[in-house]
Amino acid sequence: MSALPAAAPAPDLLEVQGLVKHFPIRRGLLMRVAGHVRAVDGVSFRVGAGETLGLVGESGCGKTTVGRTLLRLIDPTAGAALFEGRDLFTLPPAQMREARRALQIIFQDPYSSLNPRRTVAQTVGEALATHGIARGSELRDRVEKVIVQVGLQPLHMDRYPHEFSGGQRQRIGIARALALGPRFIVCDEAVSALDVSIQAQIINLLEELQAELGLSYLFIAHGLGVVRHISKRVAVMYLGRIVEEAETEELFRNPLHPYTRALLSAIPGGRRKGAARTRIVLPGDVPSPIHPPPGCHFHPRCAYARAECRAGPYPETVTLRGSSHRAACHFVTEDGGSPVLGDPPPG
Amino acid sequence: MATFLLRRVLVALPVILGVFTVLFFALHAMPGDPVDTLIPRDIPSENREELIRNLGLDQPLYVQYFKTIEQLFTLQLKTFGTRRPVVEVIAEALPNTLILALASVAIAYVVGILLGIVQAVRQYSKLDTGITVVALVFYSMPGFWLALMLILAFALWWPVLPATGMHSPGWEFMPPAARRLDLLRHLVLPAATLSLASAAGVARYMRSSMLEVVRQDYVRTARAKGLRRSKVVFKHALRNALLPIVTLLGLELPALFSGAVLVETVFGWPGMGRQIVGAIFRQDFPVVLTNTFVFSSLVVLGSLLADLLYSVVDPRIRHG
Amino acid sequence: MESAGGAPGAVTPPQGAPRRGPLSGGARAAAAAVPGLGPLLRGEPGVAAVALIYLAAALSTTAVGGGRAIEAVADWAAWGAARLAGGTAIPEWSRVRLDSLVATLTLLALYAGLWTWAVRDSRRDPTAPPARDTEGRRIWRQFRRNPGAVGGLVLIGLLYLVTLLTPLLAPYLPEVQMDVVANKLKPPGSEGFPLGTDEFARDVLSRLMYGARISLSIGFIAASLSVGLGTVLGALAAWFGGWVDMAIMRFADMLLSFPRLVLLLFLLAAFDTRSMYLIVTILGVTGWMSVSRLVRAQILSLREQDFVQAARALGLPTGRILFVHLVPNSLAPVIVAASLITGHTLLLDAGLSFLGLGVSPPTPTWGGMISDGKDLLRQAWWIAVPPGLTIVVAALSFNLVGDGLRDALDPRLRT
Repeated sequence: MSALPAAAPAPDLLEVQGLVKHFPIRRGLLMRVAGHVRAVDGVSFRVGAGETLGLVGESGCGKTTVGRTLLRLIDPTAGAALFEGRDLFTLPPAQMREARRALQIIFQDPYSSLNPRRTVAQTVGEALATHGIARGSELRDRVEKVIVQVGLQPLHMDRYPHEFSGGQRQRIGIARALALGPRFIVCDEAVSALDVSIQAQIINLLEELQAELGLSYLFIAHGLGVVRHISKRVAVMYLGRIVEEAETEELFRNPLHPYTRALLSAIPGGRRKGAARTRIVLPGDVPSPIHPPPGCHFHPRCAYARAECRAGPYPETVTLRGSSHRAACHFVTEDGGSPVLGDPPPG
Repeated sequence: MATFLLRRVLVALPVILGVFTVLFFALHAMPGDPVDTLIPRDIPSENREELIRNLGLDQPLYVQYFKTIEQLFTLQLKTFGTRRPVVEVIAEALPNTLILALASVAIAYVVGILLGIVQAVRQYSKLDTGITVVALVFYSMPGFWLALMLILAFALWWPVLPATGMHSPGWEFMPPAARRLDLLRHLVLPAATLSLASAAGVARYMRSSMLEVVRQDYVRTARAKGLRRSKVVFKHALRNALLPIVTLLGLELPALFSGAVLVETVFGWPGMGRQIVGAIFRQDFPVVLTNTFVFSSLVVLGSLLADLLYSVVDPRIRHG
Repeated sequence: MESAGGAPGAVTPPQGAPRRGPLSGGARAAAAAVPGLGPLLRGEPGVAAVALIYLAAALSTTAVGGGRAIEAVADWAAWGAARLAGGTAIPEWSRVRLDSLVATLTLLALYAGLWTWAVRDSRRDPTAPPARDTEGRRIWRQFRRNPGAVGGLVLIGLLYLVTLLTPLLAPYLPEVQMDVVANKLKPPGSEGFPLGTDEFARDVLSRLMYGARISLSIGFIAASLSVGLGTVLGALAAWFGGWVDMAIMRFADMLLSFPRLVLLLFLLAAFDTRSMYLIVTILGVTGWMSVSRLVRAQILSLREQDFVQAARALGLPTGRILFVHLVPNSLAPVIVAASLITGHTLLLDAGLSFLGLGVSPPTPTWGGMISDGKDLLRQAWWIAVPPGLTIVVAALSFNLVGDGLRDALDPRLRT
C-alpha cells in the first residue's frame, strides 16, 4: 500500500516521506475545530542501517512529535514511514506489534520514564514476557544480559527506580528499549536532562551499543553540540519543517540556512582555534505553530529576510549539486553558494 | 465566561432530564401498584379501573412519560393521593426546607470557618488537636442519631426545647413576634443537627486551606515586613483561604439534602425531605418525580453558582 | 497506640536518642512468652499497648466463650467421626453452628498470631539497620507516627475481631426473645442483661454484637465494591476518552446530581424484603462516582508520563498498561478514599435501616436498633444509644485511618 515506487532495493532502514501531524484545537460552545497546531508540517528523511541521524531544533519545533509518530504513540495526519519497506502508519495492529520489536524509543526524563512500582527486572523483562519471547529462567537470563550490556550489575535487577541516580535510570531505560532486540531506536532527547559528565557516558554507551549491535538511531536533541559526536547526518527543524540536512561534517563546515548558523553559534566553547565568531542572537520567540508566518517561516527572525521571504510560497528545498546537502532557503543555489549570506564561516 | 456558563448549563440539562427519565421508568418498573396504596383491595373492580383511568395509569408508558413531562413544565401535575397540584404541595414544603437548610448552612460556615482559623493560627497546639478530634467525631456521627440524642437531652431529660414539628399548637393565634420566636425554638435542634456534621467538614477544609495559604511567600513577606499576626491572618491570608471553601458550598448541597431527609423525618419537620420519603412509600409518582427534579436542579444550580463565585472571588480564574 | 511526640518507632529511632540493644537471655524468653512484654522492656509503650490489647481480647474471649468453643469443636469432631464410620446421621445443626467453629478457629489463629509475633519480636534487634527501604515501608513509617491513625487501625481490628468472635462472646442469639412480660425493657446492669433488653425482651448486648457483623460487613463490602467499580470505570473513561469517557462521566454526574439517600430509598423501596446482599449491591453501585473521578484525573495526568508511553512503544496490551502501569500508580488517593468511603457507607447504611429500608428485621443491624429505640427514648434510652456509639466508633476509626493514610501518602509531608 506504500506510495513508494517499488523499484530500488532500499538500502535505507527507515524512510519518512511527507510526515504531517496537525493537532486540532477545539473552541467555543460546541467545541468546534477552530484551528490546528501544525506540529509537523511535511517532513521527509532517511536513516540508513547502522547509521545515526541527528534531529535538532528548539523546543516546540516538532522534533519530539516526529519521534513519537514513528512509534505510533501519536497518530500522524499524513505521510508514510517505510521501515524495511513496510509503511508503519498503515500496518494492521498485529503487524504493528511485531514491528515494535524492531523499533524502540528512549525518553528524555529518566524519572518519569520508569514506573516507580516495578523493579528493574520487571521493567526490562515485561515486554519479553508479554510478547511471549521468553519466560522463567530464560527470561531472567536475557534480562541480566541486557542489564550488563548497558553497564549495570545483575544485583541491580531487583531494585526499584528510586534507588538509582539519573544516569543509572537512563541506562535502565536503554535496557528496556534493547530487551526486544530492536534495529532502530528513537533517542528522544535521551541525554538532555542529564549532567554534562553523565551525558558523555550515555552517548558513549549508545555508540558502543551501535557498534556492537548494528543499531540505527534517530537522535533528537535541541542543540547541535550534542549530536555532532554521534550523528552521521544531521537534520535541523524549525516550526515543523526540516530547514537543512547534511552529513554532520558538511553541516558544521558549510551551514547554508541562517537558522542553522544561529544554532551553530550557540554551541558553547569547542570552536576551533582563533575562529572567534560572534554569537548570533535570534530576535523574538519561535512563532506560534497555529499561525506560522507566511512565506518562509523563519523570516521574522532572519537578519537577511527580503520581500520574497515575507510573502510568497515557502522556499523550495534545494539540494547541492553532487552532494546530499539540502536546505530550504530562498538564497541557496545548487552551486553551493548563497550569495546573500556570504561565505560559509571558516572551517 | 458566558460561554463557559452556557456550556455548563447545556451539559447539565440532559443530566437533569436523564435523572428524570431514569427515575420515571424505574418508578413504573417497581413492583406494587400505586393504586393499592390509595384504596382498599376489596373495592369493586370497576371503581378501581376508573381510578386507574383517572390517574392516567392505563395508558402506554411512553404516553405517560411525555404527558408527565408536559404537565411538569406546565405545572399541571397532580398528586395521586389528594389530586392536588404537585406545585402547591411542594410550594408548602420548599420554604420549610429552605429555612432549615439556610439556617444550618449559615451556622455550619460561621462556626466551621471560625474554628478552622483558630486551628490554623494555633497549629499543633492542644486546642488544635482537641478541635480536630471533636470535629472528626461529629463528622463520623449519624445525623439521625445525633438528632435523637439532642431530643433526649434537650427535650426529654432537660425539656427546654420542643422535640418535633415546626410550630407549637395554637401558633396561629400568637402575635407575630411570638410566632417568630416559636419557629426559632423549633428550628434550634434540627438546624443544630444538620449543621454540626457539616461544620466539622468546613473546619477541616478551612484549617488546611488556611495552612496552605500561610505557607505562601506573600504571607511570609507580609509577616517579614513586620505586620501584626492578626492583621496578616485576616487581611492577607483569610481572603485567599476562603476560596476553596466557596466551592465546597456548592458541592455540599446534595449531602445537605441527604441529611435533611433524615433530620426532617426525625424532627417531623414538614419539608421536602420528609415529603419525598412519604411519597416513595406511598408510590406517589408525581410527587417523587417533581421533588427529585427540584432537588437535582438545585444541585446543578449550586455547582454552577460555586463556579461563578469562584471566578468572582479569584480574578485569576477565567473560563475561556 | 504510640505515645505522643517522641514516637518511639522501632524502625526509625529519633536522632541522637540512645537506644537499647536487643534483649538478652531471660528477658528474651519472657518476651517470647508474653506478647507485649518485649516492646515494654525495650521502652516502646505504644507497641506494647497494642499487643496487650489484643492479648486481653483473646484471653477474655477464652474466659467467656471457651466452653462454647470446646463444645463446637467436640460436636464437629463427633460429626466427622460419624461420617468416617459411615454413619449418615446428621447432627443437631442448631448447636453445631458453622459460626461457632469459625469463631473458634479465629480465636486459635489470634493466639497463634500473637505468639508468632512475640517470638519473632523478642529476637529483633532494634539497633540493626533497617532492611532495604521500600515504598510500603516509608508509608508505614509515616503512618505509625500518627497516634490517631494507629488507634483507628487498632479499633478497626478489634471491631472486625468481635464480628468473628461473636458466637463465643454474645450471651444470647440475637433473635432470642425471653419471657416478654418479665424481661422487656430491662435497664442496663440488670441480671443477665449487661446492656438491658428491648421491648421484645431481646438482649441489647447480643444484638449489638451480632449487629456489628451485619453493619460492618455491609460497610466494608459495599465500599470495596464502590472502590473497585469506581477504579475500573474511571480508568476506562480516562484511557479511552471520547464517547466512553462522556458516557461514564455524564452517568456519574447524573448519580451525583441528586441526594444519594433519596436514590437509595427509591431503589430499596421496590423490594419487600431486603437481604444483606441486596443492600451491599445497591450501596456499592451507587457509591463509585467520587472514586471514578479521582482515578480518571490521576490516569489522565499519568497517561502522558513517559513510562506509559514506553509501555505503549513496547506494544504491551491495553489491559496490561491500564491495570499494571496506570492503576497501581493512581491508587494512593483511592486508598484514602476507600477508608473514608467505608466510614461514610456505614453511616448511610445506618440511615437506611433507620428509615426502615435496611436489612429486614429481625436481623439485627445498628441502624435498625436505633430505629427500634427511637419511639422508646423516654422509657428506654439504652436501646438507641449504644448502637449509635458503636457506629460513631467504627466510622471514626475509618476516618482516622483515612486521614493518617492521606498524610502518609502525601509526598510533600515526607522528609
